[in-house]
Amino acid sequence: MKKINILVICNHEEILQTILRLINNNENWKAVGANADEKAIELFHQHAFDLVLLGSGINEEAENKLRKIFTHQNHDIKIIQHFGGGSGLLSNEIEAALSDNKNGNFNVE
Amino acid sequence: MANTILHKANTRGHADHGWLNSYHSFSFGSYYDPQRIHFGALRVLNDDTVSEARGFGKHPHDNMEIISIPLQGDLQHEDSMGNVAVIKNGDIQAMSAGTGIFHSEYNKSKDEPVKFLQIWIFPNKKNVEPRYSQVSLNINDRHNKLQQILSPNVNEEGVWIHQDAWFHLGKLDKDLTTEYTIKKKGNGVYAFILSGDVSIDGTQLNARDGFGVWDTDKISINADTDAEILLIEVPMTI
Repeated sequence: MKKINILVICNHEEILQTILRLINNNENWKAVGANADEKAIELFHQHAFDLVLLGSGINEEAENKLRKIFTHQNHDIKIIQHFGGGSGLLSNEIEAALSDNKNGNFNVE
Repeated sequence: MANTILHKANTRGHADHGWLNSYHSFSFGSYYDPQRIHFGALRVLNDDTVSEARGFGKHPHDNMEIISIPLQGDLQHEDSMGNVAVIKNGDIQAMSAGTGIFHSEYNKSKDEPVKFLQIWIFPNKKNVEPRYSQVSLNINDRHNKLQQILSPNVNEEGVWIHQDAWFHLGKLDKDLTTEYTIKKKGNGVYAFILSGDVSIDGTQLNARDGFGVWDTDKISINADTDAEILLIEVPMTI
């Protein structure tokens, strides 16, 4: 079974590492992380991601820039906002994004 | 015409970790029901019981308004901002996780479990500076009336959060009827019955049932027995 590749972007290094650990506990998911915009863009160009998770500390300007770059490269990429910073909602958010569940789309525009 | 959603207590998600027995009104952790994700900005309503001297070790949060309401026992909180506090029945704790915070929560007692509600509300602003607050309220002020315990406003009664949300608690004697008027147009209200039997706009509810109402200006509440109720008013669009 092909693993779901997930890029996590979060400026808070400790929280980023926690999120990566939690995601990678699921054998069907594989996550890598970036704590800065430039690193995120570099990783996005290097890997074929199925999903991008936006964590904390990314301001609106940076988020808009990342969304533009990512969707330009991959029209189908799913980009969701992660809320809560831990295990509580993480699996729910990923499951919802992968199933295109509108009720589970946590993006706050 | 108001819209409603009923979540009976026995339809909630359930996780029994031994030291933690938790019922989830909305999808949380390994419980995932695409029809039960959120009620507007209300994302999490967990009904937790933590065993004696046990608790949640240090763990992170970000971009969420987290409210704890102790129902029984003493809950000890410690966080990465240096706050150390014990909250008990009558206290309300609010934490804006914002850019990121680590905290732990333990049952301070070695003799009895602690029971509390943990409620997560989507913030109306991302990446705020983390903050923590708690207040002690006079529980007599909710006898046969609705006592405000949370609002968006710093100077109002209760704690405040980064969202146009209002929480009220009521301890109602049998046959008491009251109304709750929605504070902000477009908001909905989610009622959670802590104990007893209550009817809201004619819908009969029992302990730990949840009932959401929106597209209305007010709701009518009748205590069918002695009852305790929590009202959570939140924006319906996020």
